[in-house]
Amino acid sequence: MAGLDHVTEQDLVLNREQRTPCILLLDVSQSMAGAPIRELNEGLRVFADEVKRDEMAALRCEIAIVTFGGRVDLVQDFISVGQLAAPELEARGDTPMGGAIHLALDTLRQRKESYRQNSINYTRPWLFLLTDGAPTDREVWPAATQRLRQEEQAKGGLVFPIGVDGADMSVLAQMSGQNAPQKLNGLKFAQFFQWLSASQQRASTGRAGGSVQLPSVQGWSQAAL
Amino acid sequence: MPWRITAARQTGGSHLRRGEECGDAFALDEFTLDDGGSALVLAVADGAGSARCGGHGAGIAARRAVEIARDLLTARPPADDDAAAGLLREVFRETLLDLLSRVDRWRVDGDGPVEDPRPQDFHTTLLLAILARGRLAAGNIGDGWLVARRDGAVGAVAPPAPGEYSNETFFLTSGGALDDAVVEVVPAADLDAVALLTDGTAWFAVDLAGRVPSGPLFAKLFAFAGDPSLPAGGRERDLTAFLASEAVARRSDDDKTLLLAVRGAG
Repeated sequence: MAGLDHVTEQDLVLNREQRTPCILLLDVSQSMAGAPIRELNEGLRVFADEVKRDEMAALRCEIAIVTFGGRVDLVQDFISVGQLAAPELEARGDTPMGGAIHLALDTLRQRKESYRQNSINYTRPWLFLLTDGAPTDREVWPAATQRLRQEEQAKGGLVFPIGVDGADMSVLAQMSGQNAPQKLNGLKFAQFFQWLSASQQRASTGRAGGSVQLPSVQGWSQAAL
Repeated sequence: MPWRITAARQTGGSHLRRGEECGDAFALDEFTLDDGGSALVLAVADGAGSARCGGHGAGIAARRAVEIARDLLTARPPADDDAAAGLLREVFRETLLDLLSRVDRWRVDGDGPVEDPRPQDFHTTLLLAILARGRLAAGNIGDGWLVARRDGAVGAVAPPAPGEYSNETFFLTSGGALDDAVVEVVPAADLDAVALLTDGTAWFAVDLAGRVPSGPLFAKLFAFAGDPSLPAGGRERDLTAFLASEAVARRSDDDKTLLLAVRGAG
């Protein structure tokens, strides 16, 4: 194999792995107390376990978590899923969803800046918002939704609003111009997080493709698309 | 002056794991123009993984682009760089129209590769190189790479425009593809080697951050492809084996296509 026999490791380029960022906005308001928050926490544990199974994905996929309940918290800044320790969330307070959106978009913008500074390739980020109610920070909400829609329109990220029992679906419908809100089937958080793990893994291997073909949402959504 | 051509493609690991076939395709033609001059047309295409028939689209795009380029070159050999660029854009346009009319016929006749076929089912990139009349005209729809050697140094021609997201590009069947196509015409007299790559190959052959092809790698690839002592069948086999090698697979689990053309005596 003259010529190709002499190709060494040094001749081959090692491009940085691409990162697949996803940010979760989770409602931990008072109404989530009891079974809902228990199931949500269990779902996060399922997620943390599942994503570690695929070595490539564990490196490539990144997750950040913003909670909103009484106040807004960045409980987990962007971290590779291989290093994620599932947080134990508690329910309290009202629903500052607008504030959460602002914090999430700020966190995302900082992460992209960090990628660019370090010449790291990344896939189009995903934002998932799960809520069982409606925003109580009404003075902030309009600007937050508008900012989110603009971000989506400018292809800054893909937005997926998800309503848990009791959610105001008409509010959720305003969050994305591309994706209609999904309704979680009961408290199937674990199934949702399994789907999220599989989806993120698929997106992390995806190269050219205008949209990643995601696995069916039937396991956790009330109405399949 | 004749060209020695070696081409190979390899299904990527991530596709094999999902039981998918190779979504890449390539085509080429070498012929003589009426004025006696030689012409070489090379094309590689990469079907979108998310499209139902991306690989099929890639096959049609690569084959038809080469056929249409030959027809247009023979009928209207370009007299200058602008004409060469215009001819290349015309090839893209005719190739797209050809693919769209096939999709329409399948939908009407109901005998297509899938039910209710739509253009987006055949999303594919298309990278085209036309070497004729002292010029290399290169056109790039998507994220393929064309590397050419001049005076021993390699460089990219018509490199893909850098996009924000590494998993997204645009396709022949994307709206506005003809406008977004990157077209570049350079003199070909002192070019002695050309390589066409789909992005799965670029992933280990091009520093994508700096947008620089690997000089040492292409020196060896071109030396291999231009070696007169190696027979054609063996070269194809060796190149395929190289694309399947562990060092390459570790860097890129996507479909890989590599088309090498080296100028030299038969």
